[in-house]
Amino acid sequence: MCEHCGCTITEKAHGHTHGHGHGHGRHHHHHDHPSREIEVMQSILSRNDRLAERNRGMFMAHHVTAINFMSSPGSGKTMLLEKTIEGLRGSAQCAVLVGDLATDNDAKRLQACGVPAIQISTGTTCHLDAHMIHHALEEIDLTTLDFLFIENVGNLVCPASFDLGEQSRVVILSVTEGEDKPLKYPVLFHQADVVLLTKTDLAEAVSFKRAEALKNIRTAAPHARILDVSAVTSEGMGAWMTVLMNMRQPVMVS
Amino acid sequence: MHELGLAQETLDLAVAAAEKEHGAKIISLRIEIGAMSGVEPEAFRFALETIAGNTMADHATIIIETTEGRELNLLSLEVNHV
Repeated sequence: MCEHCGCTITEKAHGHTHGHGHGHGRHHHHHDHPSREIEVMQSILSRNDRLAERNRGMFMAHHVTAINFMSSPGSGKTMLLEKTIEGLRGSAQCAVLVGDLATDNDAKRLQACGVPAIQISTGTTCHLDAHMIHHALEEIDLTTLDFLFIENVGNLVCPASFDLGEQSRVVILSVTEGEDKPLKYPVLFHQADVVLLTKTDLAEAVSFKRAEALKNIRTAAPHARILDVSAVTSEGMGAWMTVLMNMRQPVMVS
Repeated sequence: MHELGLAQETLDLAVAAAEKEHGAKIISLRIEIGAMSGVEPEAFRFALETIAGNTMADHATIIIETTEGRELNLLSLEVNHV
């Protein structure tokens, strides 16, 4: 424990920059008055998490499989969802919630596939949160729905911190982004249930080093299932459909 | 990222807890930040110090404990009643 302020920051992070705001080594004026410690023990994300659990409860009650798709901008999320919706036509009912700072371009593209697609315009916020999902769900009829795809804002940093109430997290990494992205964004990749390696039709053109990328994905996300897909050639889409349909299986509890 | 939004949530939680116990001034806050939470401790500290001005947490000591997981918790506060 630090003798100056009582913090227990680990050795590695202990930069001791918190010199401002109070004087070290001098008698603190506010300790002249009796003070007491109040235990709080509450997550700072508790408000978000409470709404996320409400969302989760609604999804479970209607047997809707909600999936949070996260990636950098331009990795192919929307096109992959277009192809996914096409592949599920006739087998499952889908709807989409799309998050973007501006424009409703993505929602329009997905609506053209014949499914309900709601655009969540976040303004300046760089991630979706449970409150935004909760609000958008007012526009969706969950009763006949099988899948709710949530296309998060293109961002490999911020969406990681916010539970939306989803069943699964799918991270999309395109072959054009570089093999070391999983190591650069470990928090987000670690949360992935599935990692989709997209735009595989471009792999040769960019000299994509697949073995290295796989190694890095496995380092950051040891529990994730990894699938290669190309929305353009449809390579891997069959296997992805199977993974999706398997997410619908109820958990058997003995 | 979002250290500012999260700092505001923290301040709201702290003020609510202090008011519930009839505290007048928050002397210190003890916060736990996990290495995998996506929150940068020093950026969070700076944000919280900034927004605490003109609230009951003005000039409160911010004690940050780091852990290895994804935690982001307000652990406790020290208040006085004057």
